[in-house]
Amino acid sequence: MLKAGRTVGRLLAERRATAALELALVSVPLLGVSLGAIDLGLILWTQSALQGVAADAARCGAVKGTACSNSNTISSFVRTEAANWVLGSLLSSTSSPLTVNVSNSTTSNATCPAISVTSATFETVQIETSFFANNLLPPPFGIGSYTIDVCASFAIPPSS
Amino acid sequence: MWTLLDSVRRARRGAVAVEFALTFLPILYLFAGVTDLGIAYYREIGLSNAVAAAAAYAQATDYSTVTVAGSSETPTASTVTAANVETVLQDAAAQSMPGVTVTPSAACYSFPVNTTTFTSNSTDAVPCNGSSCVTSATTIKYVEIGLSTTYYPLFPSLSRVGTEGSQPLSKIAWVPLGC
Repeated sequence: MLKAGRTVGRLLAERRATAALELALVSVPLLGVSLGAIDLGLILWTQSALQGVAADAARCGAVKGTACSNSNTISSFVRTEAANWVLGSLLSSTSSPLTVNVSNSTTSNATCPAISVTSATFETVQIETSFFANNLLPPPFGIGSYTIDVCASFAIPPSS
Repeated sequence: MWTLLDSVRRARRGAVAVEFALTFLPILYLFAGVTDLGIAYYREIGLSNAVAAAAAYAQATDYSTVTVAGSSETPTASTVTAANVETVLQDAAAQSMPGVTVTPSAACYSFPVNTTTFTSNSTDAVPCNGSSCVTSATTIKYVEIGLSTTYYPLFPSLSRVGTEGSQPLSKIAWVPLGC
């Protein structure tokens, strides 16, 4: 008992290695904030990239290039272009990472508001994916599972 | 008095706390600035996308009626309406930045063929649909497509983005229409 008390007293009086101790204390929240910032950055990157892909695909579908003649080819256009921008290994399912919905005219689904004018038909592309559900970084550090849902529309020009 | 100053200058304890206080302020300013500027630019890109979608809509709707100025073709009436352009602006903005309140505006003006700068003078205003500038082959009708929003910075006093806690953002495009 007396010996233990002496050890505690000596440790309290100890002034060496304070930097290492402070680093150990600070590094826990610092690491959390850093990894969280990386996660958030990756999510925003992916969302913004998919938004761009949706806009490109909607335009491609509207002007009816050979690459986008029907909803199947538009879907593969989306997958091909998204693969160039999105880090596929960060998505929940790497075998079929993106859900692509292609619609035209005024049909609207729950998450993608249609453009409601009668004077033109719009090609609408919606992309949905789940991010980080395979927990590359555990939720205390990462943000956990997050659903990214983007959509874009482009007016179909008249076939002259 | 001087002995007190001397003792403060010689003191070595609390140096870390002083350094932390000195560096923390600029870091806080940088953090706030980066965050607010980043979000503001992100909103502006959203506005750009919606304006581009509305411009594409105006052209697509008007496609068959656009007449090249100076050509012998007879200009035909435009079918684009300001209300429809505003609806497209509103809906396209809702697609790319859900939850953000935006104010769409669309109006048509008639200008001489070689006009290079466009101003929304009420004297040049014409209805968007119909053949309101058909009287002269030397004028072109344009629709002015505008979209604006107000960004409220997260850290207005630190980031200095906006005045009095708000920053107006807007985008404008001029698209030629058939007369």
